[in-house]
Amino acid sequence: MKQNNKLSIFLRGLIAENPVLVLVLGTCPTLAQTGSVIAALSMGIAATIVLACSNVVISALRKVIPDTVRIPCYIVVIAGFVTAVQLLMHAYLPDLYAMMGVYLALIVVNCIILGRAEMFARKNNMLDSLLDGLGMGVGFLLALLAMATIREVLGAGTFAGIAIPFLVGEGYSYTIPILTQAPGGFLVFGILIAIVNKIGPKKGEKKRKEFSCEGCPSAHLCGKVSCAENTELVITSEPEVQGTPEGKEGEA
Amino acid sequence: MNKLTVSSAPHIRSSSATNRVMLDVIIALLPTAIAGSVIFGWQAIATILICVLSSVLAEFIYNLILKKEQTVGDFSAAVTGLLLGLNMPANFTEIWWQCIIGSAFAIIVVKCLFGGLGANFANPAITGRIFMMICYTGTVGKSVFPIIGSAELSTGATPLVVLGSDNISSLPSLFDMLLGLRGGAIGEVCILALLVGFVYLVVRKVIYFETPLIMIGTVFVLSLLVSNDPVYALYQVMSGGLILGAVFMATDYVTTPINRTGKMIFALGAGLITVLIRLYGSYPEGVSFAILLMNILSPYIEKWTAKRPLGAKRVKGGTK
Amino acid sequence: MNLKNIFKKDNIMPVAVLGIICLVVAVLVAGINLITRDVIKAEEDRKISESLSIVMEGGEFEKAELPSDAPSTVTAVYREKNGKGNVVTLTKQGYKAPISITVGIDAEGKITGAVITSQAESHGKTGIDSYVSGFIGSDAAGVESHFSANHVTGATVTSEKIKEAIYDAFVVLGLAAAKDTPDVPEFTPAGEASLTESEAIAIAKELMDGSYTKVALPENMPETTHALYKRQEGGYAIHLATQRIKWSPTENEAIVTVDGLGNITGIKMIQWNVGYDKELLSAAPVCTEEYLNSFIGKNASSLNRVEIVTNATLTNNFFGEALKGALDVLYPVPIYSIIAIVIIALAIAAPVAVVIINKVRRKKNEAK
Repeated sequence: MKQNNKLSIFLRGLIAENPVLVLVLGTCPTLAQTGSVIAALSMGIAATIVLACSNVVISALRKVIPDTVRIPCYIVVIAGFVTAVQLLMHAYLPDLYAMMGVYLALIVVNCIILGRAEMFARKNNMLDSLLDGLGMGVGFLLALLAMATIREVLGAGTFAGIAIPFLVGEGYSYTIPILTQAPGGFLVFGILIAIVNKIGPKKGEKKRKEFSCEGCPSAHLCGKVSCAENTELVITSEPEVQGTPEGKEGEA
Repeated sequence: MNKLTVSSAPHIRSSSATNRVMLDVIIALLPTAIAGSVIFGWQAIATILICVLSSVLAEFIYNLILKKEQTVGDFSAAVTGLLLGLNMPANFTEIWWQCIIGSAFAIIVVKCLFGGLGANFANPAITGRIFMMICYTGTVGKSVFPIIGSAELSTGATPLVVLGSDNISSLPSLFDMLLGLRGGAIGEVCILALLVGFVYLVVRKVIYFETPLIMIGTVFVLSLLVSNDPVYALYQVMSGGLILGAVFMATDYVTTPINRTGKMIFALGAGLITVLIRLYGSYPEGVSFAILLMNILSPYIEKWTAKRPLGAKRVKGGTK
Repeated sequence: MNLKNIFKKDNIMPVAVLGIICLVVAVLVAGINLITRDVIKAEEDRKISESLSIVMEGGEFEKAELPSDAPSTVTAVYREKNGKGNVVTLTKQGYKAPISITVGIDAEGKITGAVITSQAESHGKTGIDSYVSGFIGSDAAGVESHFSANHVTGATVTSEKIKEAIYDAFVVLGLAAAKDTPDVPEFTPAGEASLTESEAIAIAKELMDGSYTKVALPENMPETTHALYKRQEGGYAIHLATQRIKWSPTENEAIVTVDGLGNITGIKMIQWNVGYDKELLSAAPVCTEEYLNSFIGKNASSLNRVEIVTNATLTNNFFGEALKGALDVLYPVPIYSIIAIVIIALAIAAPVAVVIINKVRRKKNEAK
């Protein structure tokens, strides 16, 4: 693949091909870890580290790994990095580790990481792969942060654990608690995807050809009032239009 | 040259058809709303009003922002707001802002996002009620007691909660249940008013009488089966939102099967699930979830009970 | 299979590469594990110590082996490193759900602290916490004789279970003997009846006129039914005598008359003594006329709609069970349930019949 701009590789993962909101990969940790901003931050950073490292290593080994066993090899590499991150977090950041729970281990099967390995890392050099991994990872992080902000602020009235005064306080709480739970998560996710896809760059939308109703064989059948109004109804008795109501009328 | 305009059906469109039906529903709900206001006081009126206003406003703003044609005139948003308000307890001072959020959710997410009236897959009022029950169990799940007979609104265990507990000796008399002198949501307590509304709707040919009867009947028979005590079964039928849900929400045109047999199956299923949740589930009230579940199954029930044209044979994958 | 083919480059390379990658990754991960292992362990220990310090101030704990004869309720024993004592965590089934308790016992065998870590009982949550902290300072004997009057109101069973669990903590530490007898003292439901046969019949006649003759008790009649009198015109008079010693003795004796359909027509309470620690309850619950009248007209299934006397829940329930047991034996057929079953059967049979008839009719039409 020709990439003339290194920067564009990095930027692509942020919005245009955001892994969560546009490619819709890695939705499981997105829904699970966006209940609070801190959890989203930890998940995003952990996934980015693993993604960048595994992209680099897989890209380095791309000529060595035979095609038939490439998936198991990728998984082993990714799992190795995830285990390393797990152990280091458990030792030096035990509170974050406890908050992430099982989802830290689930990064191994996060579609983003395996997906980028398959689609990019094994076909490009190490630097490009690193940039792609970082870009996708940061895009993942940003998407998680966006969702977590909405869910935590509107759902619990706090941001990163700090209570927002006019939403939550002594004896009062103006929040929508369902947003911190699963149904709310799906809701926010859906709405975010809709917004990003609406205002983001369009990808591969086919432009409908505009054509006039003249010469359109179904003008008289089509419900478009404008079409019918502008066209004279042409009734023919040719055999082709047999079977259509107009055809029968024509013969009558 | 004369122009002949040909287009496909329907040839006459008017929103007055939806108008008329919605108006009838509103009229049918008036006795219940009035009874609720008398029993629970000004807070009931305020709660109903804020739900109606929020629903109508939500639909208006949505259509405005997305540049669609205004559909507020067909009164369906008002009906949703009215139903949602009647499902709430009468503690306006605590739940006013929650009502706004719930109504907005019911209208925008459940109805408008899916394509507006006729395209929603679930009853907005029921889903709004479930949304508020999950979000605000403390205030919306709280049941308020009538002001008649005591100066202030008090709280306590509704008949439904009592029925679900181990000790069911402290139930109000059957007559009190009928008139509505007991705890519960604004619209669900006065059975008499609800029945008046039911009769009105049947007479005006807005709904078929089978759906509510079958749903309520199923709950009665199953409660009788489990308890061997007809009085208990009667209490079960009169408690909670069963009659309100059966008459006004299980008969919604959009989210229930079209054909008559389908409607009966819908009612049966809803009654069955209600009893199961009330007896064996962890929520005391099962009507909302039952109706929602059956809403989701409606397309399949429709397909299954579709009338076949004379002489048609059933082919795998559909009817010929 | 050609041996040469197996060792072709194409077959060996993938396996070899995969194997090498696995090896390298394993070594690297093992290395990191080595570095972080101690840090992790220290962290885990710290967390446990923190949670256990609630019951024993400032202690450093390490987990100890459970003895083989430990009571089943004990989940773990932690020994305090500086000799302060031990902390025991237990889980015991309460009234509805398991209760988890943590108890700290110092070197002299006295309780330093006790907390409930998880429970889902329906009654008296705040009462339970203060009940549990009432054990602080007691030793094994103190726990055993803990006054049952301090039970949480409305949560008698829960309170008993907590007390038993705390006692188990002493047992596992070897500070008290395990109870060979079951926790609950022997308890016979049947009580002493004070009425003679003729007295009983006289009372029955007052409640519902007729001629009664004594009959033998059916086989599965509960012990609490002392005697049974059959009424010639239909129905029975049941002479109940109950005695319950679970926490303290209660004796109830009553004559109940029922008609031929199983509905109660009359009830007279001969003895009504309410449960535990009678001396301490300033207002002993009284068996009122209202209470007795609420029995009239009920049958076995609707007995649970009888109003319960305040503060006499267990007595009430026990008496109700005795009565219900007798009625269930005499009138085993649940009429209304059977009516319901019939309705359901009809409701299922009708549409099925309609469908079958239509199919048959259709077949006939096609055959023509």
